[in-house]
Amino acid sequence: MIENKDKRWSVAGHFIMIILSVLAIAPFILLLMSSITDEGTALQNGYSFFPQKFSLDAYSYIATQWGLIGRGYLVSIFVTIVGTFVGVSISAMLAYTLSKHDLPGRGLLMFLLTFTMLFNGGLTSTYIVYTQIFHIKDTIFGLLLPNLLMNAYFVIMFKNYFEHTLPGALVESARIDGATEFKIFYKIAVPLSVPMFVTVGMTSALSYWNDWTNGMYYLSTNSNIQSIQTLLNNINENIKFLQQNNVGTTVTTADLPSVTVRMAIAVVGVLPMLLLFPLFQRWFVNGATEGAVKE
Amino acid sequence: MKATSSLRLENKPRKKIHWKSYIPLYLLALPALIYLLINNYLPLYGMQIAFRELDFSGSIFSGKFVWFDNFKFLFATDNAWIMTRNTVLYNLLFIVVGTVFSVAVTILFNEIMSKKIAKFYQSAVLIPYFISMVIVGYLVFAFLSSDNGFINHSILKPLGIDPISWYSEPKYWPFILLFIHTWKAMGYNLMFYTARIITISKDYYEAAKIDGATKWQQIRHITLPLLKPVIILTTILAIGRIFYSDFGLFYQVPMNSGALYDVTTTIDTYSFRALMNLGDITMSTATGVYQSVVGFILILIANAVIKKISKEDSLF
Amino acid sequence: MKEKKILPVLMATILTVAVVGCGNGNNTNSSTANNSNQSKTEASETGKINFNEEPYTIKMNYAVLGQEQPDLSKIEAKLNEVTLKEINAKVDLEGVSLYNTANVYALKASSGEKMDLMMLMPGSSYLSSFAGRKMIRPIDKEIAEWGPALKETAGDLLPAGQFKGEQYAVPQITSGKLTFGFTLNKNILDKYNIDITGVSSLDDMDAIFEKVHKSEPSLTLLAPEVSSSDMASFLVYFDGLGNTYGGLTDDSGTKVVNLFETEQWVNTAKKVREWYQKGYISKDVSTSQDDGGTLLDNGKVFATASGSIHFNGGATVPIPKRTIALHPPVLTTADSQLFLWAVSSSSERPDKAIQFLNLLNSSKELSTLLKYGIEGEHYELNKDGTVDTSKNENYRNDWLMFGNYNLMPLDSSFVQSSGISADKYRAREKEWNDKTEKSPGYGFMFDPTPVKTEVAALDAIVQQYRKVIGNGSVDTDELLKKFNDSLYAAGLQKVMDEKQRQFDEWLATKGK
Repeated sequence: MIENKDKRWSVAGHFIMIILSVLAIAPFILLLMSSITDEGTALQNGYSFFPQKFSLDAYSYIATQWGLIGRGYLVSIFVTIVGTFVGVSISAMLAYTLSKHDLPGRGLLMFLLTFTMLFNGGLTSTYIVYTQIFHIKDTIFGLLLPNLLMNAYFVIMFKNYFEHTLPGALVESARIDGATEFKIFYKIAVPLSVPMFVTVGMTSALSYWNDWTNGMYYLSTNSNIQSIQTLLNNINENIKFLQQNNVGTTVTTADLPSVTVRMAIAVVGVLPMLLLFPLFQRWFVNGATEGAVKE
Repeated sequence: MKATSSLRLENKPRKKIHWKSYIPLYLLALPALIYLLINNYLPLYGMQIAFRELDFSGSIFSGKFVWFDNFKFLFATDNAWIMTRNTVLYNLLFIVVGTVFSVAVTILFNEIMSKKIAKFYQSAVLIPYFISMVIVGYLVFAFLSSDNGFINHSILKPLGIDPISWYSEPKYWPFILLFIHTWKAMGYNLMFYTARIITISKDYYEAAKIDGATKWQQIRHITLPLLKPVIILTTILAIGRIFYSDFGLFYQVPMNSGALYDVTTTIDTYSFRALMNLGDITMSTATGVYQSVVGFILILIANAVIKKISKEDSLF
Repeated sequence: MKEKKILPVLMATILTVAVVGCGNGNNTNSSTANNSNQSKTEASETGKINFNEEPYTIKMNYAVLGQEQPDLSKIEAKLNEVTLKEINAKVDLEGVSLYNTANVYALKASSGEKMDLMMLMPGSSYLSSFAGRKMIRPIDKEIAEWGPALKETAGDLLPAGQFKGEQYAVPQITSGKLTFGFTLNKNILDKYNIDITGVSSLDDMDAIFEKVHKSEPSLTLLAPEVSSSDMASFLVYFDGLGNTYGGLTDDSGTKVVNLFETEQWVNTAKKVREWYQKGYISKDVSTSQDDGGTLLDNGKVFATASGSIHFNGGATVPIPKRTIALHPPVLTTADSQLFLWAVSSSSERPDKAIQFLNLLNSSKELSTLLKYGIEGEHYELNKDGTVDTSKNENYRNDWLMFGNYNLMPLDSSFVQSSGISADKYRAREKEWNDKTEKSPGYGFMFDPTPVKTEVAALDAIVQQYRKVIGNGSVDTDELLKKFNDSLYAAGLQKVMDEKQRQFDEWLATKGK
C-alpha cells in the first residue's frame, strides 16, 4: 500500500494541508484569545492574538448562569444523539430502498423526495401542523422533530453512495444465501458505508447542536428543556434587540455582557463538537471499507 | 468504464414476478416517508398565504386573495436586478471553485502517507465548519477593521502600504466572500469526498501501476471517473439552490455595511432588510415561493440535461 | 417522461392534504370566534363584576430577555389571590422572548393558541401591523365599561394606543420622555476645565472637541450611543408618525416632509462628516458592533450622540457623565407606545382582560408586586420610600410594563445612579414631564398596508445609505443626492402622499 503512493505527492499533500490547517486554526485561536481578553482592552484595540490584558470575566458571567447552562448542555447532548441516530437511520433506510433501480414506484418516490428539498410550507403552517395536530409544544419532540430529523439531502447522499460503492456481487451472493433485505441492509450496507454515516451524521449532529429556532418556537420560555443554543442565542439576540430599539429606561446594554461574552459563548457552544469529532474519525481515516470488505 | 459498471448495484431490470419481495424494501422506506409527509407535505398547505392578504381575524388561510401583490416588493426597485445577479453569480462561483478546490485538496490529502498527521489535518480544517457565521463576522472584522484590523495594522502598515478601508470598498468583497465560503466548507467537503475516495479499491491503482501509469494518469483515469457521479449529484443539488444564499455569509460577514450592498445584496438579504420592520409573513413566504419555483424549474432542466448525457447519474 | 404522470398525482396529494389541513384550521378558529361573541353578550349586562361564574384565567404574554424569572410562580400565586377577590379571574403570565415577539405572536394567533393580553414592546413597531391584520381587537367598549381607572391614570396617553380612530391598546405610563443631544465623560471635562453651560448647538461643540483633540489626539471623541443607529439620526428632531418615510420636523407644522432632505438633517450630516474628517470619529464607526454607550462607560470615547437624555443631567455610574440637550423634550406617539397592552382577537373574555389592566393600574400593591416581587423576600423598603432589590435576584422586572409607574416605589440603586436624592427625584421628574410638549401628530399612527410594497423597498434602501451618511463615513454631498433619488425611485412620494392623506383625515376628525 505504501509503495502505491508517490513521495512527491505526499509532500504536496502535506504542503497544502499545512496551509489550510493554519488558516483554520488561526481564527479559532483568535476566538479563544478574544474570549479571555479584558473587556476594556477589546473595546480599545479590537480582538487581537496578543491582547494586552487578560480577563476571565466573560466566563464568569456565563458561570453565573451555570444552573441553566448545565441543564442546557444535557438537553442538547440528548437531542443531538437521539436526533442524529434516528434521523440518519431512517434516511439510510429510505436511501437503501431507493438505490434499488428496479423498485416499482421508485421514480415517483425520488420525485417526491426531491420536491421536499425545494418547497416548504414555511414556519407558520409547520407550526400549526406540529402544535395543532401532533401537540408537541413544550415536549422534547419539539426539539427533535421539526425540520431537523432528516431531509432529502441526507437520503440522496446515502442513495448515491449505496449505488456506487456497494459491491453488487456481495449483495447478490447474500441474497442467494437467503438473507432478507433487512439483513442485507444491516449486515452489509451499513458496515460498508460507515464513512458516509459519519459524514451525514456530522451534518445532522451539527444542525441539532446549533439549532435554536425549534427551542424558540416549540418551547415556552418557562420550559425546563431549553437547549444550550437557545439559551446562548437568547443572550445574544436580546442584546442586539436592545441595541436596535430604545426600549429600556432602567436597563441599558451596559448592564449586559457584550464584547467578549459573545466570543466566550461561541467557545462554550462549539467546544463539545470539536472534542467529539476525533472520536468518530477512527472509523474514518483508517478506511472502514478495508476492514469490512473481507467477503 | 469497466470499473464503474462493476461497482454498480444490479441494474438489469428484473422480471416483475417477485412483487412480494419488495415489501421489506417499502417497509424500510416507510419511517422516512411518514416523516416527510408530516414535516414537508402537510405544511405545504401554508404556501398559499403568499397569495393572500395577511389577516388574523379568522383562520390565517382565509385572507383575501391578492394574487401576486406580495411578490411586488421583490421587483419594486433596481435592486431586483442586482440581487438576482449577485445570488446567481455567487452560487455559480461557489459551485465551480468549491468543487474544483475540494476535489483537488481531497486527492492531495489522500496521498499523505502518515495517517496520524492526516487525522490531525482533517480535524483542524473542520474547525471553521463549526463556527457560526455571526462569529465568523466578528473574526473577519478583527482582521479587516480600519483602526485595529490585523491586516491594516500588522501587515500593510509595516510594508508602508496605505491602510485600506475594507468595509467601504466593494471591489474586494467577491474575493473575500468566496474565500470565506470555501474556508468554512473545506473541512466538510474534504470529509465528504474522502468518504468516496477511500472506497475505491486499491486493486485499480495496483493494476494501473503495473501498466506503468503515472500518478497523474491514475487520477485522471481512476479517481476522477469514480468521483464523477457524486460531483454531478452535488452540482444538480446546488443548481436547485441557486436562488438561495447563505444569509450569514452575505449579511453578518460584511457587517451589513451599506457601502458594500452592490456586491453583497442577495435575494435573502434584500428580503430580510425589506421585511424586518414590516414583519409581514405573507411577503416573506412570497420570497420563499419565488426562490422555490425558480429552483424547481432549474433542477428539472439540469436533471433533463444530465439524463441526456449520462442517464444513470440523473436524479430521477 | 415520468414527470408528466407524476405531477397530477402530486397535485392530488397536495390537495388532499390541503383539505385536511383546512378543515382543522377553520374549526378551531370559528369556534373561538363564536365563543367570544357569546361572552360579549353575557358580560355586558352591567358595570358590575359577576362573581357567580367560574373564574376566568387571563393569559398574559409579556416580553422577557430570554428566560422567565425563577420566582415567577410565587408572584403569580400572590397576584391571583388579589385578582380572584377583586375581579373573579386568575392571571397566567407567560414570557415571550423580546426580540422575537412578533413571530411568536403571529404563530400563536394563526394556530389558535389561547391569548388574552399581549405586550407589544415597542408598540410603535407592532401596533399598526397587528391592528391592521386584526390580530388584536378594538377595546373602546370594554374600556368605557371596565376601565374607569385606566382613563384616569393613563387618560392623556390613551391616544397612543389608537389606530384608525379606535382604541386597540393601553399604553403604560413610563418614567418620562427622553430627549437627544450629547453625553460626555465628566472626568475629561473636568480635566481640561471645559464649561458646557450654554452649549446648545452642534457648532458650539466644535470648540470643545478641538480642545480635547489637541490634548488627546488618539482618543476617539464621538460615537453613536447604539451601534446600529447613526449620529445624525440621534441629533435631529423628527416625528416619523409611524415610520421613517415622511414626518414632522420642528418647523413643518402638519406638513409631512422627507427627513433626508430637511435642512436640519442635511446640515447635521455635513457637520458629522466634518468631524469625521477631522479625525474625531472612528473610521470603523459604521461597521463597529460596539455601542457608544459601552465605549463611553469604559472611557474609550469622550462623548456619544445620545437619545437618552433625561432630567438628571447625566448618570454618575459607572463613570460620571454630563449631558447636553439639543432640544426640549417632545412627546411623540411612538414614545408613549413603548409598552402597549393589547387584547388578542381570539380572547374569549376581553372584558376580563380590561378589568385586570384597570385593577393593575389603580393598585399600588399589584404594580409593586409585578415590578419588584414580594416585600421582605425580593426587596426591602428603605426609609426614604425607595426599595432595595439587591439581596434577592430571583424576581425583578427591569421594564415598566406592569402597572402604574406613579404608584410604585423607586429602585434605590437607580435613584442613586442619577445623582439626585430620592425625595427630590419625583419632583424633578414631574417638572420635566410638565415641561414636555406633545407633537402635533400625537395619537396618530400611520397605516402602511396600502403602500407596503413601497415601504418594504424603502426599508431596504434606507439601510444602505442612512447609517454611512449619518455617521459621516462617506462623502455627504455625493451620496445624499443618490440616496434621495433612490428613495423617490422606490416610491417615497407615494408613501408620503398616503401618510399626508391619512394624517389630514385624522387631524380633521380630531378637530371635531
